[in-house]
Amino acid sequence: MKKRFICFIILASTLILTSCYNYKDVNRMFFLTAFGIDVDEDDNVVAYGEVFVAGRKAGELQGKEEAVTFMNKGKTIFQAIRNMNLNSRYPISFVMNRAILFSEKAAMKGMDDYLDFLLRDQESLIRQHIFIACCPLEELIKIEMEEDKFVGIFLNLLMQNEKALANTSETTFGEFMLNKSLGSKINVINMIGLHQNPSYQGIDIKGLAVIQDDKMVGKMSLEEGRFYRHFQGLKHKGTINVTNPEKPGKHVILESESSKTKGKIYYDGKTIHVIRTVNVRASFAGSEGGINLQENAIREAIEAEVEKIVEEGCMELFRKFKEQGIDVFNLKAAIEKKYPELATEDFLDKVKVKVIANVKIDGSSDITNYY
Amino acid sequence: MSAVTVSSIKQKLNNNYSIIYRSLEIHEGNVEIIYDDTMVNIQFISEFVISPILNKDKIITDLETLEKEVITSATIGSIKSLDEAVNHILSGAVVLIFDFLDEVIYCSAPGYAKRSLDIPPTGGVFKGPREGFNEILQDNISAVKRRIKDPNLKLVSTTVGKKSKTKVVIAYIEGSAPDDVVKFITKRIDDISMDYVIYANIIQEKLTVTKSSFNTLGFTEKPDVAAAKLGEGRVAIFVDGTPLCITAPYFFIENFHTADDYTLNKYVSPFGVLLRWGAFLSSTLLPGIYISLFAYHFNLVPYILLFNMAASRYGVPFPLIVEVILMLIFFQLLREAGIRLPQPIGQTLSIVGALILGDAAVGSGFASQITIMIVALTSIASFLVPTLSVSIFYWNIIIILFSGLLGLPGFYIAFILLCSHLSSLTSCGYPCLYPLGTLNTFKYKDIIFRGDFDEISHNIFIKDDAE
Repeated sequence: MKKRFICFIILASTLILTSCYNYKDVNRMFFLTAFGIDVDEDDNVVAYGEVFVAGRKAGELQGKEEAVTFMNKGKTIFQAIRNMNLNSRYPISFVMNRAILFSEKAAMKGMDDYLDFLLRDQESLIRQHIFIACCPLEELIKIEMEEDKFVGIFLNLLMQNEKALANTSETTFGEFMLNKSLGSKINVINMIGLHQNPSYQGIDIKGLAVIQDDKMVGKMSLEEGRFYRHFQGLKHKGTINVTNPEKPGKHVILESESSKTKGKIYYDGKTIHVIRTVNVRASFAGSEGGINLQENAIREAIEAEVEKIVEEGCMELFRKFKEQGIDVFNLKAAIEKKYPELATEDFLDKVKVKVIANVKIDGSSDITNYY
Repeated sequence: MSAVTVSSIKQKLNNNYSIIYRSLEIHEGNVEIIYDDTMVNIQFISEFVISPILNKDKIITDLETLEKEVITSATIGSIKSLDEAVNHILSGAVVLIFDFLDEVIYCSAPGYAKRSLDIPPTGGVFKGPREGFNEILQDNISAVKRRIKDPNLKLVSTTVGKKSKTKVVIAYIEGSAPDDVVKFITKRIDDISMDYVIYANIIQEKLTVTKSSFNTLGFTEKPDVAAAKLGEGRVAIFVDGTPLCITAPYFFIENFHTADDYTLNKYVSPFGVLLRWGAFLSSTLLPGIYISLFAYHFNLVPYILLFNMAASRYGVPFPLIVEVILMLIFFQLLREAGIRLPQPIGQTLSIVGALILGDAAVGSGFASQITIMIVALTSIASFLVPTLSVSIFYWNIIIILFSGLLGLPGFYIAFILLCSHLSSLTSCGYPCLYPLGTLNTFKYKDIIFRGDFDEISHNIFIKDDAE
């Protein structure tokens, strides 16, 4: 009897576990694939949801998938999401959400009002990517792309395309939430917009947005994005174009295979020195007008030029945002660890950045001469 | 005079058309010959019993003369009681009553239709022996003895069933089989007090300690397998009228072994064992995981699969759990129909039934394609371990119910229940789940990867040196 009672208690205790009584049929739910947040003129939150809807006609063995966009407003994000359910026949689930999109307007106004809900909600995930839309959010989310029916899935796959990440950011919602509590509370996330080509409807990564303390404070071009990645030691597999040393006016194309960055910080009593050594291994992809790679001098000239580009690019990027009072590389987080007393409001005035680039060119084939 | 008379036998065996009473008149007096027409070889009786008596050239004065100089039958013996006489008649012997002698004798002359030692329907092999048992005890014992010519091979005969008087033989190799197992089996068989013991399963159930759908005793229809088991130190039980022998102790892992594991290359055979383990685990757990993931934990499913699933299930009127249970039952119906119907029709029904049922179920919106695939995979995988297929179905239902009620926690509870149940099983005192769930270690190394034959060909019940 005692044994049975213990068994009963163990079984009964499982009823308090999370999944109990949450039985849901997969075909009686709508799965959100992309979630957009915008604000209107009256400061209402406008929520957009791109939702997977399955439909099946008589005689069809399998249902067909369709992307349907739901939209509604509310005073708060939660209210807007609940209102979005008002015209949905099944509950909308966030468990399959692949992308969070903020309109530029909402990002500039401040994202902090929405982030807490997205973090707390049990259905919301932290692995989805976060973007700023630099075009009307409604147009972006309702786009009928030839490549993929779902904007959310397209963006998710785009973020797995290594070659697309060369000059961009791959920040997920979880990383965003982590960075917003470190140092200068800086995040750099992708800005996306509609592809400007009348023959093809699509979405492009247009640049990067700099978010400080949950507000969009600046923009970066994709070229600057490359230097941002070099400085931060993020994986970089992109192209580097330099002038052909043998043929002025022509270019040599290199492909960056790996980029490793080592950092060093020290304080000399007056200045905080931040030194970044960027080690780039690049392969020779091609040249315009031919080149003789057997010549050491030519190879060294190319390497020197790439080093110069990387060093100047990183320095310029730092300077550009420093002038606006933005610590774009979030140096404060690193300084806080070593010199907590120096991480003051005006610490940027004391910071001196030095970038040392070491470029090594490997051959991509056994072709050493091409004319 | 003997208590065994023709009239007493006639009284005992009245209303029995097949009992033949033949009277011979010879010089010394009358000889009554009684036998069961359906159980004896008539030609044998005419040639080796009746003919010698009629054509004798000596006067029968005593039993010794009769046995040594007249009757040429090989098996002969005297009868002391009426019951004994009746038993011999019903067992295929001829009973002879002489009015000029005090003794009653019998000559064994069995003769009845029997199957040859055909290829058995179970335990098919690519490379090994194909001979299988038939329903005749002597033939089965002979098939095993041909493979083990060891004087220590003991064959203890006993009779069970008060009225059926079924002959049972307990075979073991003395010094190799554990004494406690032999004693346990002998006692349990002696304790059987039923009137009729027709099937070996009756003995199997009497030897089972824990009630379970999982077999705690092995059986084989192949003499080579029975001989190998005896060689390992196990006990084999043969039952007259049954084309199989029971082997004990039996470990759960034996469900995943076939005779081919020992006849094929040792580097090939583990693949089959692993495949059967995988099939058992997937067929037992797959429906439960499927329900847990698709009814509770969507976020653990890749989105492409989830979306396909949602599209596939669109319009299905039942909850997922009902859909899965219904389709599993449909597959069991097909399986049962395939077994019971004559083989050609059964096979056709299985194929046509599966195709039509699966296709029609999806087309009519009764079930989704993914569910059909999961159920088909579950059922096909369970056929890789035929001795467990029905148990797998039972546990499928239990795991599905728990998973449907509680999601993954329910699935884990049901899985732990299954493991607990399996670890609680014993086979003649030995832990059935060996080498899992027990601290006992024997020299039974043939778990998944088979060693060389000189490593594994020994008594497995000797305690391991490493213990």
